Amino acid sequence: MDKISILADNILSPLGNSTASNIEAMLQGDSGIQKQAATDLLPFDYYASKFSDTQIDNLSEKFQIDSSYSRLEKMCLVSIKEAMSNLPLDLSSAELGFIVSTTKGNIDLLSVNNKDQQGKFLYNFANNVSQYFNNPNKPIVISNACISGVLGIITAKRLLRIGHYKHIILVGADLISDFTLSGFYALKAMSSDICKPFDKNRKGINLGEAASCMILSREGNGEMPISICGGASSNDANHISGPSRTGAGMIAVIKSSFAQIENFQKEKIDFISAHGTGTLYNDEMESKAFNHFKLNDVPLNSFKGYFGHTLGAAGILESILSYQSLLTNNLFASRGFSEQGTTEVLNVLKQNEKKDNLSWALKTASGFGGCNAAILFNKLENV
Amino acid sequence: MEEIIEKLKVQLIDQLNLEDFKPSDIDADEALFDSRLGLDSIDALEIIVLLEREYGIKVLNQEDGQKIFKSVRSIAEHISANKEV
Amino acid sequence: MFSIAKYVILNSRNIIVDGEEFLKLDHSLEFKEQAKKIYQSLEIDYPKFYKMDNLSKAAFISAELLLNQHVFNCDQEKIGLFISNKASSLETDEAYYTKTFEQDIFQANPALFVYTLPNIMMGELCIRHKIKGEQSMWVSDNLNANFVSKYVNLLFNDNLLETAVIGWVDLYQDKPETMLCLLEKKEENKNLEFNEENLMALYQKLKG
Repeated sequence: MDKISILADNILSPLGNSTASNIEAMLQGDSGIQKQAATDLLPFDYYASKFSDTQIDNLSEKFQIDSSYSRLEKMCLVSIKEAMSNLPLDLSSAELGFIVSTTKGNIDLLSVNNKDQQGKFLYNFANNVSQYFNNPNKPIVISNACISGVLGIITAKRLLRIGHYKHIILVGADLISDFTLSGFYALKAMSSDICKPFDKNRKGINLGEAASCMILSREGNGEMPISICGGASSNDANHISGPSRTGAGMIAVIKSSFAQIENFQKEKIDFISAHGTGTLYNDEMESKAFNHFKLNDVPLNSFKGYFGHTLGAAGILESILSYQSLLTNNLFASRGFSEQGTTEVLNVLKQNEKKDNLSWALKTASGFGGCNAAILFNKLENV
Repeated sequence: MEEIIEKLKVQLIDQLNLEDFKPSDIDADEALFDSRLGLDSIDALEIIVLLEREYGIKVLNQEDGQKIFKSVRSIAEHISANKEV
Repeated sequence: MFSIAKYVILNSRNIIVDGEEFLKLDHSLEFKEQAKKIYQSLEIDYPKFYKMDNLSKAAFISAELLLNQHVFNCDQEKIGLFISNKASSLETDEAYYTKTFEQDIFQANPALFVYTLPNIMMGELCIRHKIKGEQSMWVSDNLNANFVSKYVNLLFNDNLLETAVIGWVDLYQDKPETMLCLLEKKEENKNLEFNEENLMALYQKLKG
């Protein structure tokens, strides 16, 4: 049996605590990105999508999560619990595994004077999450820069297929920290305004914090008529901090994903959820890759204008929104875009659009270290 | 000028981890980028950090950077013209 | 069937290539100095080596010894790379944190920040050896040989890969620990079969 089902999902972001509330905010044109003031440690203003001081604590209280858990652990636990709500699934079962996608884990713990804390190790962070539910398996931690989330979905699908687990809790999360803010600032990669992916006047990224969760199973019962198709990762083998100028690595993962689906024709793709960070080079590279497949006219968006770049959470969060688009036949505007700004012209969505029947979505991601990933989602008919 | 050039060579070797090079190996006029020194965009950002820390000079946009960072001599000239007194 | 065609183990004591000691290491030296000596003994011209963080240097040296005589006979897109470790990029994270926030003035170094992700070392290996296929960076307290062998074998069985470099590359508190294997389709019996047991045995040899 090869069929993998999505049982439930959750997006926990400054825009909302559930997938539905995030979508509602997006349809109203909201963004979580706001101007943030300089601090003693960070002597510059910046734009980012950040949780309010109380949002995570209030939710932790609602779910009776002990205050000894770190902020990021609380985000993951809340996201999983929100996704689980009425699902009759035993998270302590040995047949259920955890996959955790994160780039920096509890990076805020570095700023505490005691540098010997166990929580700064990514595997301890992940263990704290899975052991909360008394799960006996060691969680699989994927830390592959900005493709961690999409790679998490691909990995989950593969492991379910070979029966390594019956069910998987996939959670992705990262914090906004002085650490990451200072680094992207040093790289001169941060936008001095709300980011504008694919736009002529794009100036860089905004960081964002979020947790996102997908619950996947071999034993679904039509909870969500979505099939996860294809899925591949690659490396540009070109530069450790800049994407390939030609898009070759991105082309490779899209090609591999297509080839994994029987009788697939690229004409079937109804829309693309691009990585679209808002940097000059990323968006340019993606335009070249999509042009390679002559996908220029396919409606395309980047979700970074709503959430910022949520690093380890991004690929999962954006995949959830992609298949929710398929389920509701809604296309989201690519927030912040107004004027073509890539060498290859793309059909970037300026407004939300209602469609008759969306069937196939392509999701891409790429990141530092030269990595790329792609995956497709297909809405099943007559289920 | 020669004094700034020699000091700058030492600082660049240190800042950019050019451990295979001694100051005398680097010609003040040779190209820093797309050359045998193998510098890239991250190195350009590191030179900006160096100029700010050691000389109090801010290079704000990349186009200026490209002109200024052509060679050790062009950086030294920029330093002597802009150095905080 | 796939096999472990060659392997390299590097720790603070020595470097082992296919079971033979290749070099004894002087553990009184800091790894940075040790790595420089080994790099120079390899007689290769790759000045980017000096720009890498210690984790990438440990990965680079190990991969150099693993692949120095090797020619890949397949598409670059069919060569995979899968690395696990324990400390992610924590060694460089802590160095970056100290350098950025614990000085009198705020100053962030972009070249150091770039190395604060564990998969950057994989990027370095991909650039050096033209590895362009499937990849993943995993973090666990010990090698999860069961999961890794199942996952990589699945990609072989699906023909998404023809060969791969896999293993463990960790470095924390100046202690390097690497074990890299080259996986190939089995031709003769002389090779180690690629399975959970053999992978775990090599990991234990590293930990030994």
